Amino acid sequence: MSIAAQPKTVTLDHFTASGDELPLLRISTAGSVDDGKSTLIGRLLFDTKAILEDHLDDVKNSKVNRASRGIDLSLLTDGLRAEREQGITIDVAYRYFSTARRKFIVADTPGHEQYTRNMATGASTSDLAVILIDARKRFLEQSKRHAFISWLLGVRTLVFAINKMDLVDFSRQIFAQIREQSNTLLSLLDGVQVHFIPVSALDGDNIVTKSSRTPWYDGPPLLEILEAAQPGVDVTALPLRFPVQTVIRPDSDFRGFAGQIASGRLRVGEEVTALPGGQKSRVARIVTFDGDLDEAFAPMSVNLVLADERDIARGDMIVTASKEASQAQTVEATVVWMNEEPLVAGRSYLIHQGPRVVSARVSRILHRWDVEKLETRDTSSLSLNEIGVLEIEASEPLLFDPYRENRATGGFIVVHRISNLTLGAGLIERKSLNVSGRGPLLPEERLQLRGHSGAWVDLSQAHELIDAVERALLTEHLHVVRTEQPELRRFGLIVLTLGYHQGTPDVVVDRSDLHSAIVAIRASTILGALHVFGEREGI
Amino acid sequence: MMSQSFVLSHLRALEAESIHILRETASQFCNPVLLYSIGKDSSVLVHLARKAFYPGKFPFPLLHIDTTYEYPEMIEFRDRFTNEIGAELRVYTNQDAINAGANPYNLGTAKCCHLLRTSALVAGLREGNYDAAIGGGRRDEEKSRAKERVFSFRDRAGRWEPRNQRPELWNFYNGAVNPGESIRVFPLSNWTEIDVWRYIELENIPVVPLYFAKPREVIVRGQTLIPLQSNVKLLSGEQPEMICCRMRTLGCTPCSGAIRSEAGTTRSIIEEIISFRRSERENRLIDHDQEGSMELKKREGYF
Amino acid sequence: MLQKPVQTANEIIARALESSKNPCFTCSFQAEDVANLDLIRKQHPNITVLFLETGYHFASLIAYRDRLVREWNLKIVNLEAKQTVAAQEAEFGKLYETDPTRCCSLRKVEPLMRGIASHDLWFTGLRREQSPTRANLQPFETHLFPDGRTLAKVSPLYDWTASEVFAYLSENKIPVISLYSEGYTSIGCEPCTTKPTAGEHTRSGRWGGRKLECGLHTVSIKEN
Repeated sequence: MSIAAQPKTVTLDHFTASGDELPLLRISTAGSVDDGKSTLIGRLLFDTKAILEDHLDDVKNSKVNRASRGIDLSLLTDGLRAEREQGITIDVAYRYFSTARRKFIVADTPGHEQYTRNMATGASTSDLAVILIDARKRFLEQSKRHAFISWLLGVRTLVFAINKMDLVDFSRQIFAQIREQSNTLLSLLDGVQVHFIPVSALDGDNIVTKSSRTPWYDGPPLLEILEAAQPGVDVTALPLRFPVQTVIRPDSDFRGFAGQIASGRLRVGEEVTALPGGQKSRVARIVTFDGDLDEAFAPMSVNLVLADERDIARGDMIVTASKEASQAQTVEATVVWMNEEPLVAGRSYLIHQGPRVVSARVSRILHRWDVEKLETRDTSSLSLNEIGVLEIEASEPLLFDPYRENRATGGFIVVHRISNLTLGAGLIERKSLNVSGRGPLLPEERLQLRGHSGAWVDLSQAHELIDAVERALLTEHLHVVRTEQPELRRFGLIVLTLGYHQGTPDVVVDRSDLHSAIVAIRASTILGALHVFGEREGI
Repeated sequence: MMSQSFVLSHLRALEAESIHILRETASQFCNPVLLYSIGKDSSVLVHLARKAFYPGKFPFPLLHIDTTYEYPEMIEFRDRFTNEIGAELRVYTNQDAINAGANPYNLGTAKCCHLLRTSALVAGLREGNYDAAIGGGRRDEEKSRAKERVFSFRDRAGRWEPRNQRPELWNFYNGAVNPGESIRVFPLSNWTEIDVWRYIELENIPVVPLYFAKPREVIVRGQTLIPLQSNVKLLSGEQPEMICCRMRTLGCTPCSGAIRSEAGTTRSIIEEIISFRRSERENRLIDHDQEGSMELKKREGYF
Repeated sequence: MLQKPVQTANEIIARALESSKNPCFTCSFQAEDVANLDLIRKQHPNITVLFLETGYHFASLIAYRDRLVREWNLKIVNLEAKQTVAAQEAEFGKLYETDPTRCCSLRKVEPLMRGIASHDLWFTGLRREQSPTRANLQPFETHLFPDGRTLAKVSPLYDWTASEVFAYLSENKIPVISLYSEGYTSIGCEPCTTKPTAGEHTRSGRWGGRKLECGLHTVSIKEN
């Protein structure tokens, strides 16, 4: 069976959204049972008419019907019998509703701390998180945790639904206070877009339609926000990443690499590199059942034919030649542990990055996140629902982009070699800098190893402060030296000079106080770690 | 604001996801099979499978669990369609139960379904030594399916336990199993009933004619219309009538009902569903057996 | 159709033999092993052929082996488990039913590791298509023994499809074992080989590449 010499072609319009159709939106929800999350989702489903009439009848007739007025909307969403009877939800549940223009998939996750793993799971595919807050309880540690986990997993739009406003008389002050309380947290989360809405899920205020009981709120109701939401990142604008799932070879004339484009765009003629081998080639054909395309984009599933014969197999990745993905055997990763048996250093697991599977060992646990306080702690193990930063050594190269840069290629799951269970989920932060490596140090290696960058501090106008400055910096274990060679800053040293030299100092200390001088020096020698909140606050 | 030209329509987004899942299944398992129920969801699944492996053929057989009470139109459609696309069709029947005279009138629907569908399915899968069974289940079908995974783990006895499932992040599916264990794969997990019909319309996918309304000879039983087939027993006082109707879901002849409808085309079916929100399974009497009945069936190994 | 795959396989074999004085080839006498053997013996006629004589093989497989050994003048070594089948069954019962992994370990893995230990290169008939865990198989890999020693492991047919294997045998008029025509798609020990499904409306025509059974053939071999 040979493929026709002139394959049929198709244009992108065959696949793209047309008219005023909006793209599919994946949403995750967080909030505990008592915050009214089930009621809120039930309201969304009910009001957009997704509930099938007789599911409603079931609910009306069911033995378990908690609300005193009308239908208990939360029953529309609770599924499993055991849960229904206990009135709580235990796992990630997927719900579907649509408006005339847009389809939504909701990953509904429980709010309790013990279900961090479910939250992370739901957030991993979501573009937007709806976080419920009980207006009577304010902005709790739990809300902090929900926001942090969503952000960690890459969600860049957070919608805080302040619920049960009916129980606080729709108080504008209370709403404003809650917004206030969230400020500190939100300032630490990079790149996040935030909305606050006062709602009553039970009565329907500001869920689908604007409420007359919140005249002071001039924002849109929840559904309108959902309809208008854009994912925070345009995945088609990222570099091309195409993990190969399988090779399709119906006969000896056709060899196609099948997969789902993880990020970026693909064009016929484009130069690509196959990793980990590094072989280069050009895209000859982009094949689909409907016809050959000239170009394709994430998240399309296609069959790629290259201009040259290349030995590429499942687990390899085809990337744009102009910006290749990283390869490393030792990486630092943030890991959410999802199993009852704790993680300890030294254990060996399988790491799955989509179709790529490598054997790996946890060589070190660098620290654990205290999610409520957003601080790091030392630990020798990671328990169920804990989040930590680990160093992982793999037997073969991992192919990745840092998760922060690309959600589609920075994630991995940890699988037990014998039980086959998924034990945890990881987000690769960076290639681990190998201390026992050889050759000249790279600037970023120095940065990593010293913990700070170098700086030239000019004390020519404040001679008398030099002792105090040296003492203060040394006390913080910074690498400081007194010398008239400012160029030593290249080697990561903080150089304190008294004389006059050519060039631009990083900090000029004038006759102001010691404290400001130290603050200025610290600011210019900022630590390499990107997301260590506590330290950032201290600078 | 993203350029409209690099955004998939929601049906194409669902399609791309399903193709990805089918390719993962073929790649991760030694002996996958597609459970073909001849219904609309199965028809969409087979269409997606053809797309996923093009220009090759999909690398797994179709397995139909035949209760012998299927509508003749379904069997005819099955044979013709699988022949046209060149698919390998396997059929399994719980012959012992049939020989012993199993039927829903004597046994009741719960027991009959158990024998002819549930345990037949588990036995059929075991016989073929399949380590992955692809099915058309969707999460919106029933409350107990909302938490179902795309790759749903089944133990050596073919049973599902809610606490035994693996978290699914991103688009990563962990299908690793030990001998005797298997995975049920649901590529249509995120599709709704309307998505399925819209896709059938978009792609012109052939489905069993029973889905389309036309005048049919039926027995009216309460709310349900039972199309007259040779094995449907008339109860005393019943008279067949000609009513324009269609099947919302396909099951066995004695147990599936039709609904009054004029919707004779895919488009009119879609419009009808949107305005006429009745549960897909309302007319499959089995679902009303017990509250949470689908969950019980899943624990036993049926979907 | 076969020109390129055969050329690639021959290049791999040649390259492997350059650095080896004492290569071996583990042969189960299934189709791809026979095709592989044919290609290897053309460059190294005296290759040591290792056969895992588990004691549970189909009689027709043993007969086929003997025939090929005669016709091709093969230097064959039959690797046996420490216990005879009778002794093993007396001690453990029918392990292939109760604990097949252990049975494989005793009757295949252990003798295999013993058998290859004295060689400096190990040819195998592994192909990517055979198993999900082999999807990323490389033609040259390194086998790591528990004591830290390494052995080069070479799979010349790593990228061949099943149809290419059968086409090669057909073109070169090499007979295949009769069990294939009975509907078996993979041939291991008799108790563990899946019998073809009988009686249904099975249409003929093989599908894709997934023809060989996995699980029993996964020997934990470290790569690289």
